Amino acid sequence: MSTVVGRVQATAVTDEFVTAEGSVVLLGSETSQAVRLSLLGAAIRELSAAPVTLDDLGSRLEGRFGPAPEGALAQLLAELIAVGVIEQIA
Amino acid sequence: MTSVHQSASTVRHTIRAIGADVPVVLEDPAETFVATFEHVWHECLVGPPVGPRGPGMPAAVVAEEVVVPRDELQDGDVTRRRRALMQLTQRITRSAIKAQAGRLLMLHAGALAHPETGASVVFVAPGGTGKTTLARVLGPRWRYVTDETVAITRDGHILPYPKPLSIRPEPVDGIRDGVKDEVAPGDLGLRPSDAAPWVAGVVSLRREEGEGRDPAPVRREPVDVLDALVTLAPETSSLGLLERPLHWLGDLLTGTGGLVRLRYSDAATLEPVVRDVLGRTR
Repeated sequence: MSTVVGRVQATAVTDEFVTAEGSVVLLGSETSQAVRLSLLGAAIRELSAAPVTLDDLGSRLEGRFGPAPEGALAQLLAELIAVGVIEQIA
Repeated sequence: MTSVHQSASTVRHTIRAIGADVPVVLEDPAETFVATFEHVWHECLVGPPVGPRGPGMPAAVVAEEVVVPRDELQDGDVTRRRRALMQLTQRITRSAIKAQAGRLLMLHAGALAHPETGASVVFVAPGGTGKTTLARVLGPRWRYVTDETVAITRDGHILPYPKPLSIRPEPVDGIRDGVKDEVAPGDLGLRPSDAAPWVAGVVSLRREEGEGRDPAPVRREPVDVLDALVTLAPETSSLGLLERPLHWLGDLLTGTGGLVRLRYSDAATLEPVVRDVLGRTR
């Protein structure tokens, strides 16, 4: 799995379906694939609506969910990038 | 019959598919091809294009013309004619889907309807995994809406597509030629719906090999709405061109009791499920 460096940002999507509990399904803008996000994944997209550094993102997530295990954020970001809902930017 | 012989060598028809009128031009066809085409497409042949389709139905849109060149339509062996008919079905479907892109929610699915109420069960499945078989096996008891593409309006009506059923023939000496037979619905005892069909329930088919002689019992698995969206999105056409497509699909599912996944080995065992859905009222 590649290491995420620099800043990240939520990608544009065609539609977003959100339940009352905050779970989310996204429909990508390029494909007909829909992606279901966990609450944590949904929070990452929300907090990266504008470009954000990993440190800032990690701090904000910690404020909501508490401390994360070492490397967990990077792994989750890599998964979100792989399915096209987060992009890495310079 | 509604064919128009524009000249001695060209035959024109209009096929109504999912609310779109698809002009079909057969260039210098063999008579046997025209006769077979008109027979298998009988339920979809219409006169002049456009016109409303009943309460709640949008007027038909005119789709891109499908032209079949002469070299595909001349007398040849049976396999050649079968292949030409199969390809023509695919072209008509593609043209209709293209015309309705951004207008209708289109699922890769078959549907059967109640003859009086129009209540319909929509069965979603990837190609080659049970839609046509289910329509053949249970369709004669109900009404045939389609075995291919279910096109749904925002208020839950279905624009029917009672196309010929594309049936994979039994292999000859263990060999398949990759050509499906286009069979008229009427030849299989299927009749189109008189009542305007509407979505009463959506199921996702998962055909599995049975064990032993007796078919395995049907397993019903409710799917929560988020997983349902993930399951169904790849089984749609042009979903991203709709306005708020996930909400359209989500509203449809929540308004019809949610998606149910059916694991089964024999289409006949699905009859109670179909009967249950078709008994619903709006």
